This record gives sequence, C-alpha cells and structure tokens, in this order.
Amino acid sequence: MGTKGWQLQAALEGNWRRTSSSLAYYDAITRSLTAGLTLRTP
Amino acid sequence: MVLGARRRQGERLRLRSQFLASATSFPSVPDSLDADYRDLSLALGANLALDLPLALDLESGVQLRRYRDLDPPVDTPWLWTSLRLSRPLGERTGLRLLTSRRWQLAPGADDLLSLTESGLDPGELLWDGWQVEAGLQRLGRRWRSSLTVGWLAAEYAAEPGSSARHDESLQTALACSRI
Repeated sequence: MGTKGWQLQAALEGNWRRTSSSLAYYDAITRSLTAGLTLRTP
Repeated sequence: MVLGARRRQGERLRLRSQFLASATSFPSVPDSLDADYRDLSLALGANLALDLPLALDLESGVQLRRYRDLDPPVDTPWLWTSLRLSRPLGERTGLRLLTSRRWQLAPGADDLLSLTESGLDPGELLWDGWQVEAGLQRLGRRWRSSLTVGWLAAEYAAEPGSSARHDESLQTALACSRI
C-alpha cells in the first residue's frame, strides 16, 4: 500500500509426488517456473 | 500480471495474468513408457474482495502439454475455468473453496491412450470434468502450509466410437513452502 509501479515476479518450484495403485507405485518430479507482472496503485 | 484498482472502501477488484512453464519426469517408470512431459500455460483471472470477510476469484486459462519423448511428439491442449471463494478464519489462517471445469481440446491420440491405460495417475493425463476442493492455509513468519481435500469427477479420452472411462476420486494434499 502507498507505492505504485510495475513489479516483475518470478518463482521456481520443485514438487515430488508418490502415487500408489493396485499395480505399483511411482514417483513424479516436477520443476516449474511461474512469472507475472504486478502493477501497484497507491 | 496483477492490476489493482480500489472500487470503494473495503472493496477491491484485481485483474491478473500468470505464465507457467514446467517439466515433469517419472524416474521410477520405465523409459520405454515415454511418459515425461512439459507444460506451458497462460491464465487470466479477476479477484473481488468484498466488504464481507469473503473474496471471489474467477480464473480461466489455456494449457499446452507436450509429450516430447513419444514418436512423433504429441501436443495436447485444454482449457479450464475456476471459481474460488476464500475467507479468513483468523489472523493467519484462511479457508478456500474451489470448483473448476476442464475441457480437453484434442483427445484421442493413440499414444496418449496407451499412457492412460499404463497405470499412471489418470488425473495427470487426458480428462474432461469437474474438480471441487476445500483447503485450509496457514501463514507463519517464514513458512506457508496448506491442507487440501478434493473431489475429482473425470471422463477420460476414449478411442473413437467407444465410451469414455469415468472415474471419481478423493485427493488430499499437504504442502509447505518457505516465504
């Protein structure tokens, strides 16, 4: 609050999941990048 | 991108867009399955914070997934739209309810159907349907944690002329991230 202007946002994330079923289990690994631009108004 | 504009005291409308690029691999699945994929997505959303302790959020987006190890590589796009209601339950705790609908735009590629039948989590593959989630989130000084319970009703891609397989499932997720 009280500031204005553009702000670039970016995030790197890692995610690991283990899934099991009646057949077997397996792992899934996801690497992701998200990006956005923010305009702040006072 | 988030654009903010105050409408009146205590009420705020924000518009935003977000770009996502990700890569997913399955290290314990045989390489011959060629299940690894990459995603690109673009989402547009609007968030309205009301005078009540309640916020509404509407989001729509398009996502493109590429199975680059298949021969030839397969691209599969889908659209989604979601509605989220959230409200605080305390100074650092929040509750959210979310419902979303997804439309697969190009089902039916044989290689993708074989993945669907391979035993991998079908929720990661081709489906049309509804998803409903309820989640609690708590903000600490350095950490954000959340617990989510969801219900998924999915109808999977089918070969031309055959009925699509239908699944319903319950999902839970516990997530923790550093702020």
